[in-house]
Amino acid sequence: MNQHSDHELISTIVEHLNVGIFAIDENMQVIAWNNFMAAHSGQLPQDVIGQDLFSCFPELPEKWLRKKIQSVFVLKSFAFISWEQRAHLFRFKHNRQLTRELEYMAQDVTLMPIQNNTGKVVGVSFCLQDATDTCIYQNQLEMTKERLERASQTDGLTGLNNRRHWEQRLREEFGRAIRTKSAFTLILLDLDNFKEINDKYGHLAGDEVLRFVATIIKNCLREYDVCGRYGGEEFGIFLPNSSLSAATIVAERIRIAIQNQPCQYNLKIIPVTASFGLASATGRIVDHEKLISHADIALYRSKEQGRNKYTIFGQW
Amino acid sequence: MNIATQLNDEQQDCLKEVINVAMGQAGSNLATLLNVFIQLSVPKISMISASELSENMISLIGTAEQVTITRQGFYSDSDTQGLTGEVFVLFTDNSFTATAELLNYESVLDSKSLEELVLDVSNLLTCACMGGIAEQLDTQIAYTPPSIVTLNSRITSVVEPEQIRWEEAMIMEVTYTLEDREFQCNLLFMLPSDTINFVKEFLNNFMDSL
Repeated sequence: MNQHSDHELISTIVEHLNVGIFAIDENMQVIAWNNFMAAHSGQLPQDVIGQDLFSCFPELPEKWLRKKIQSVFVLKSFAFISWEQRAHLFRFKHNRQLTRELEYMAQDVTLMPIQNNTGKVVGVSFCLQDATDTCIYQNQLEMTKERLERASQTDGLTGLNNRRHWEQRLREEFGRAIRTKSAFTLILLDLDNFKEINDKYGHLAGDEVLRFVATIIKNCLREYDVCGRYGGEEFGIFLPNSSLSAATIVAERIRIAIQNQPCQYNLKIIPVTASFGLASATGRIVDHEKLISHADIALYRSKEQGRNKYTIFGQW
Repeated sequence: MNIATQLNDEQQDCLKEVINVAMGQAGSNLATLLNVFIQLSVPKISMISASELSENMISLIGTAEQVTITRQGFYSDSDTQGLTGEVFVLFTDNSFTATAELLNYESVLDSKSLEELVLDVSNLLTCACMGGIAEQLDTQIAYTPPSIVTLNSRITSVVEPEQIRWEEAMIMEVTYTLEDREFQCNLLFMLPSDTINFVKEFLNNFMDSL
């Protein structure tokens, strides 16, 4: 085995390290360029050494980077570039899976001063590390967090907002309506004879009925109306900036659709209807719970009065 | 609080002198780099325990609405035990427009660019100061990348004691002001026990040599 000197050994290691190492002098000319840089840039040491860095790589953000480099010269300190704020410095390809978000290698770069023996900074060295894996994991983590958050807000069976999330949104929107003194209406609807449907056709059929109703509701709502699964067979809808007459039209649209559209399960058509209770926020109502209570009372009246109809609170 | 790690009055005075020289140098370097006049306050030096850090920061923040805090570590780059610690930079209700211009950022910053700018400014101030101190103490230091603790948010609690590696430290508070540019921030330098011992030794040798 050849007797490498200590320096030669370090040199060889730096040359072939799986990290980009290069250096520039005070005139921005490249004075060192390791194998990693050559392989990823396609530019060999002989192409770049002695050349202006920015001429060789016009994609670099020159004005900004010059200032950063200058700070190392003046302050004799380190400077850092992180993939978390800047996707990449050099446009190098990465060799991970192809993803839409990550076109080039994510990079962490450290700039360090090169000092001569009088302590003067005569050059800046760059250490460029591939952070693509971390970037990919981070993105996956963010996506998972988003999915988890959505899942915690969603009713599994129907895909609608679950009760907790819907009530929270109701609280927020209602508060806004009070502050801006704008109209606000609430609809509660409850499926008629749902227990009988479950008993006669089975629980899986019952699930299908719930999904059927959820779909109808979603299709009948306008952009800012918000619905949720309020209970086992109960749904809630709040309509910001909506008058009672507008809400009534929406309620009727849903009621008729539920009544007329066929709900099919296992080659059987299941007859479905629902009862509705409507309540409008007037100046006297100051909390959303009161509004729910009014809609609930109106809903109860619809049930009492034969089902498959709507009732407006206070109008009977 | 461990009495042994505290500095006596003589050492404290000596340290203040050393720091003043370091800050002067730092200010001068920053002025050269940024082409503006930088004002540095006289450093306030005290001892605190990890649990008091949060309180300390909150009192500095006061009633400010928008708070940004970064943190960065430095460590001894020489073969002897030297300067190791961390720096917190506190920005309160700041406009970063002026500094964006000085550092050649775009005038309209998206959220990532703002993060980058905040980290850059923190890094510059930290390195300028610590670099100056290291030079006065005749030692070499290296830095870890800065990170954001909180960005433009209202503060309820800051750094929890569990997030800190030292139990007690010497804290140096420095206020930076950019003249004419409505920019100000506070730097909190944390020097834990081992580093304090190193500093003490240096101060003793320094005073002996006078």
